[in-house]
Amino acid sequence: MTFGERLRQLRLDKKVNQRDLASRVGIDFTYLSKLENARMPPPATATIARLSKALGADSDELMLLARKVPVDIAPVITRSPVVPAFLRSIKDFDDSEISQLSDYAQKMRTQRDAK
Amino acid sequence: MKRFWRRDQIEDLAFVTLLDFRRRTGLRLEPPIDVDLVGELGCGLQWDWDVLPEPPSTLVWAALFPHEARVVMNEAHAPKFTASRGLERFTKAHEIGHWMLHVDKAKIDSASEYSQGDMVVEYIVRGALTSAQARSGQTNWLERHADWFAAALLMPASIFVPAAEQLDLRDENSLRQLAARFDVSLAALRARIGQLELA
Repeated sequence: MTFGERLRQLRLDKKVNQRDLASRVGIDFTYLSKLENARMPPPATATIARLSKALGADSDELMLLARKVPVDIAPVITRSPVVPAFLRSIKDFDDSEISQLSDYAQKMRTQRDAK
Repeated sequence: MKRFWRRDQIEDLAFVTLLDFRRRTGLRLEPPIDVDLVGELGCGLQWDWDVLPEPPSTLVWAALFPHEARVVMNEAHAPKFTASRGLERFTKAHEIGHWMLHVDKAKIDSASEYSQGDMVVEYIVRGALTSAQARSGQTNWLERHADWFAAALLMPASIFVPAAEQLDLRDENSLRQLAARFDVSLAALRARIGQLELA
């Protein structure tokens, strides 16, 4: 599913028309129609965040469909050279392997929080 | 596909379209009818905005692309639509009318009649006839059907008549009040009052 298709689906789930959503988010209604119909590339992260909030949607989902890094993740990636290196080292991992890593990280967090 | 429609059949189809929309969405049928959502959630159409080519001395408000179930509103006229919500809403209702009355959905799938990229271009005739059409006195029945449908969709008789009967329709302020309630232009309102023989 594309960013535009999911955006339209979320909007229709909420039973909101294009003009009303565009007005709430502060974008032009013609631009919103172009986003939904994939005639424009996905918008900036700040706009995606406003769209998600207006639709009560998970912003991570829309950010990922838009191939954008969520705003709160960017500082994590850039805080140390170790993080990008780590991400590169797992770039070909499949979902199962990522899930194992995630479980391990969760265990570490639990131990850390217990101290 | 039915080619000839009587006024009462179009009236009925518009109301059935609204009832179906209510059934699918659970939304109440009250003015102003949300024509955008009726198109999308009731009829499976998509709204889009883009600049449409206009032949010389012709005004093109919108185009229906049957193959894609998509209506493109002419972005060149977006300021006019924004200034007159009634114009935009009637144009959209008119396109829904074409979709419901004149497009054979079975043939879209087989692509026997509507090939990829084929489109039905709409030249809105209410007050915007081209000079050539006006001179020839051309009557386009498909356009008239779509206009009837649009009026019945935006001002369904079962809701509109009781609302209108509470007002003095000779009074300009009452007409404006009614037009605002149904979010239609005064021209569309007067035409509907005439159709329903309310004045």
